[in-house]
Amino acid sequence: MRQQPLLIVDNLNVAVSTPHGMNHTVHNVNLKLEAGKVLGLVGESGSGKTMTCMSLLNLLPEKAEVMQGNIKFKDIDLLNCPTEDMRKVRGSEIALIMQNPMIAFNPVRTIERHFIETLRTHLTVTKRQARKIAVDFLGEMDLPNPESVLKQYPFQLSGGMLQRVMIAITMSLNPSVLIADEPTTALDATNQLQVLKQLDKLRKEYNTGILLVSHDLGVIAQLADEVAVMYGGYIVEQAPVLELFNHPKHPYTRVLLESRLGLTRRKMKSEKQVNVSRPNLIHSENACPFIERCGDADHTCLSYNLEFIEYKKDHLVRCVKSR
Amino acid sequence: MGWFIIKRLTSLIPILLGISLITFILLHLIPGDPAVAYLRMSHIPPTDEAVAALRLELGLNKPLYIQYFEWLGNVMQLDLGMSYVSKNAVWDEMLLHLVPTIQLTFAALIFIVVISLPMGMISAIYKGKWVDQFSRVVAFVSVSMPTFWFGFLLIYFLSVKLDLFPVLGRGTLAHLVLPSLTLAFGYIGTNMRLLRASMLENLNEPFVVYARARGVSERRIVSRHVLKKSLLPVVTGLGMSLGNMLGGAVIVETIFAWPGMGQLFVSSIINQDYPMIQGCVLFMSVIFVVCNLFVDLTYSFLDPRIRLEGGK
Repeated sequence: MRQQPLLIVDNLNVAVSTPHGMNHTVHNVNLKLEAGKVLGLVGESGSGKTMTCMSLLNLLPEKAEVMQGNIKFKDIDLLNCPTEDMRKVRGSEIALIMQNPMIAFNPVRTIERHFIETLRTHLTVTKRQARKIAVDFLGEMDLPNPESVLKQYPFQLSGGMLQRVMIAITMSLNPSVLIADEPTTALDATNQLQVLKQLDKLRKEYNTGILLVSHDLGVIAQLADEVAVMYGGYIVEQAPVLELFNHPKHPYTRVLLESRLGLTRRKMKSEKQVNVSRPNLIHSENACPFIERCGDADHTCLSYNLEFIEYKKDHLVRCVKSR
Repeated sequence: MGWFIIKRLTSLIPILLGISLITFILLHLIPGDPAVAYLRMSHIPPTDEAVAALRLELGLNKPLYIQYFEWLGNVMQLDLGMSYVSKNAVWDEMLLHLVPTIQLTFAALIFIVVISLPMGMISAIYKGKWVDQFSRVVAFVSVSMPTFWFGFLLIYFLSVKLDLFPVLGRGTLAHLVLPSLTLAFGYIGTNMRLLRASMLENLNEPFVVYARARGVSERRIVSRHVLKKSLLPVVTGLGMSLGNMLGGAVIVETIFAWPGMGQLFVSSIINQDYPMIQGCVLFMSVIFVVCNLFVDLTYSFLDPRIRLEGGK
């Protein structure tokens, strides 16, 4: 039985204005996120992951704008919602965990101020009540001595601790959706594992839907139910996690998986396949975005309309060869 | 924190020794005999005998290093000597001019803070809008317009035409307005642009994105997150302005006949009034070091990273 998705991204297109014209960074992205599920979003830097996330919160950088598409959260049309309403959604309904916790906090303000400020933005609580909530949730994050953590400045804590503080702030408001943008990238292995555990707890205990963005397939494999692979602004393949890992159809997904397996023979093959050249995003009107780096590319890839091909139920691929 | 202040104040000693030695040497390299200047100021014909007698009396005939050490010994006992011109103690003379200078400086500082901080903040928030363009023009005018010209404009319009403020002199609070505004004007542009640049930089920091993502209101982000962090470079700017202004604002003082340190210093140079020059230089060095110390203290108050990590 399928429940109604919490968050529906429909045909999202984002462009960034550059001195050379509008640069499309996100193309026709469709995503659905359900409560208690984790949707993984994989791709290399510049593939449009962060842009997609930021459009969900209506927090795109100044130069970027949504050209087309719809984002629906519960019954709210996020792209056409008044600024003040959007502000109320942020943090309380849709929360964000940032990539680099070391720079996500204001260095001249204590953790306590960050925490209390967030709580008091969304709840009518006194400072003392807010403080109590903060202590409780920091404790739940297995942070030793929450009282003293609150008094610290961000630079006095480690990246892993800050990431857990961020998760604690998120949990305290019990959002329906959490966007975790590379939550483990800046952390060492031990901290990574702990953060992943906490995210899992969030999903299980609070039934939060998580959009987990990462370039690390290991992280995705541990948490995600479904995975979308992004390349050059397109979702090139989308499937349930096991299906994707066992039967990758898009050449780029295969390259990603192979490079992760790290077998020498395969690695060499993949290095040959993956050309170092970056996709030239401005001139990719009809051609497959992966064409320059794809080992199997031929003339059919030049005039591919980039429609999704349904390989099997719930497994979509954007590659003309997979037909 | 206490240690920090003591350390900084002890660093004053070598600085003052160095500065006083250099000015002492430079002074004696200036052509012209101070004894001759002294006699002229006292309306005594500078005959050879008179000059020789005076040189003996003032100790100017002794070797240079002995003169320096004698002066230094007196300074240690807080005796800066006697002015060749007024025959008063240098201390008394300086105190007399110090009060007007402090009045002028702090009035100007208030103008600088009250005008440049809000304007810098607004132009950062409304970057590229007409407010920003306007403040850019103000900044350019402030930096490039000569002080004396601005002073004359103020006198012409506000005193002569509208008769709002007295033209010159010192006395009531109204006397203070035009000189301090003139003095402040040159510093407004720099401090305004400093705050604007620093705020724009901070508005692009990830912590602002995160604050927005937590739903914090824009007003609060600016006032609580960005402003405090952006004030750091402005504090440096203000501290330096403060030092400069306390050292004397010769032009402003001259235009408005304001009896401050600047006038005292310039006239002592013209008259070759050695003890007075030395006294003024010493005073300015102390002012600069103290202003720097003040800036650092404000810094550590504003930025916990310095307070908690640097203060070891």
